[in-house]
Amino acid sequence: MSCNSYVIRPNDLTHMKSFPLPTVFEALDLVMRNYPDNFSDEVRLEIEALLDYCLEGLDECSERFLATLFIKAIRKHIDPHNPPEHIYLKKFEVSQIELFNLLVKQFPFVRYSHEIINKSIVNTVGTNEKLTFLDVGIGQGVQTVALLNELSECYTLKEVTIIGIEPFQEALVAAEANILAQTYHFNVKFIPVLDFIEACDFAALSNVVKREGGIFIVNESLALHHIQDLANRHRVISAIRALNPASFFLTEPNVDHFEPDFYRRFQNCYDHFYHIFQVVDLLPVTSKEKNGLKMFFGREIEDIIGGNDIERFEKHEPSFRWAEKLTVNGFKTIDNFTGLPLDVGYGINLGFDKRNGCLGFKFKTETVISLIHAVCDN
Amino acid sequence: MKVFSSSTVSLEFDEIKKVLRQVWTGFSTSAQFREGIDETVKFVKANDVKYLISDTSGQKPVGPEDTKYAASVMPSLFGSGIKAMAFIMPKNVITKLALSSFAKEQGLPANVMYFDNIPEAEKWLFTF
Repeated sequence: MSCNSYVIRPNDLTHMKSFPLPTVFEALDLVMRNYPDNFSDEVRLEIEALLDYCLEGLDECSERFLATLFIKAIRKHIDPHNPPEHIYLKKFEVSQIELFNLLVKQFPFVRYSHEIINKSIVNTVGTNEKLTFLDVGIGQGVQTVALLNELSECYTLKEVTIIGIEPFQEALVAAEANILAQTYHFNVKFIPVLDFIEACDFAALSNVVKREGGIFIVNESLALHHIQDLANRHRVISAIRALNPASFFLTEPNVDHFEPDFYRRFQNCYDHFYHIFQVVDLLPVTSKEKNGLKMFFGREIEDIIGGNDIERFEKHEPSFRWAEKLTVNGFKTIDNFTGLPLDVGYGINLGFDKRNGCLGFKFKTETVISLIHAVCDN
Repeated sequence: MKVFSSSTVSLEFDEIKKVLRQVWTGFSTSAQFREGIDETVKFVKANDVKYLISDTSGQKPVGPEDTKYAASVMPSLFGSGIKAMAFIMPKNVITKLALSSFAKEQGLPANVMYFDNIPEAEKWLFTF
């Protein structure tokens, strides 16, 4: 993905000489070593010089686009109350609807994660007549609606209760509308819970689960990493275990952004998104859409790099650490996924990591996202 | 012979070889950088300078506007008798990238080249 790593003299081919350029990462790395408070006027000048370099041909070079997003984030850290405008990036933004469509339909990590988890849930439901489904961080219910369509295969199913936990009211209202918009051969009941998962009243939730009955399944997709501290992560997993689900499915990025050391976090973050951007470049969508997706990830980078440790929201952890948390809280991970595609495409390999109990989507050397299927370890 | 010196740039002229060496050190403010550029142009216009070596090996990055400013005086330098110009590559990776932007801005004429050291640069310069 390294673009323009040599400067050549195009108008003098007989004496053509090139000089090797450092990678953009090397330059960015130099800047990031000044975190948190060594951003002198001289370093700020370095940042501006690097930004100027990256802005040239930004939309044609993923590495420069990525570095620009990191520079944007670090500028926010340097001047949090008055961050500079980034008008050059504004033109790459796409609407929220376009973005959701792209993520769900085109972005393989999201698309196939949804498909595999949903098919695995259908497989777990089997011939049950009643399902109670707890969706942690339901968002606008995109995955849940797809699940309801998949559940049409469960001919014996008569009732489905969906408990949707979501801290944002607008999204929860949209989720309810989306879920109840269609009819199925089974009855669908939606119970909205407007809250952060760590703030939920699990005793009340337990009563709801018992009252609704049937097979009980829990799913979380890209939600648990928003819980800020480890103690609460353990407490939530333990509380879910106490609900005694038949299966607990997790979908989480496999990267350590929980890391408190900024420099290591930066390296993890760069490596992760460097690989993601390469996949984005391979997608069969327009340049505008590719750049829109990159901008979407830019918001995550801004949080991971620009936010201080207390305010940060995107605190991903490597999948083995999620598996570990599940284990210590009375779950065991199993290799039982259904509907694995024969070929994800884009050079992405899908494989189960027995040691860590996760199904990983691996691109080159980076396992970008992992799926975990956990059951109660009785 | 040293013909100009500031805290971030010095100009040394070799009258025999007709080489003007511009040696940059550390960070230059915009004013310091432009002063160095202006002094170079002034000296080249007033003296019999045939070759210019810009030693940027110890230079830290300059701002984008200043890079453009440096690029803008190149025609004036070549119009005043400079036959060829050599850059000694910076060690700082960001300066290196900025220099590549300068090179792009310049359009890279055949009589401008980049080297790792002065002997190599001089060897090439004297072919002009």
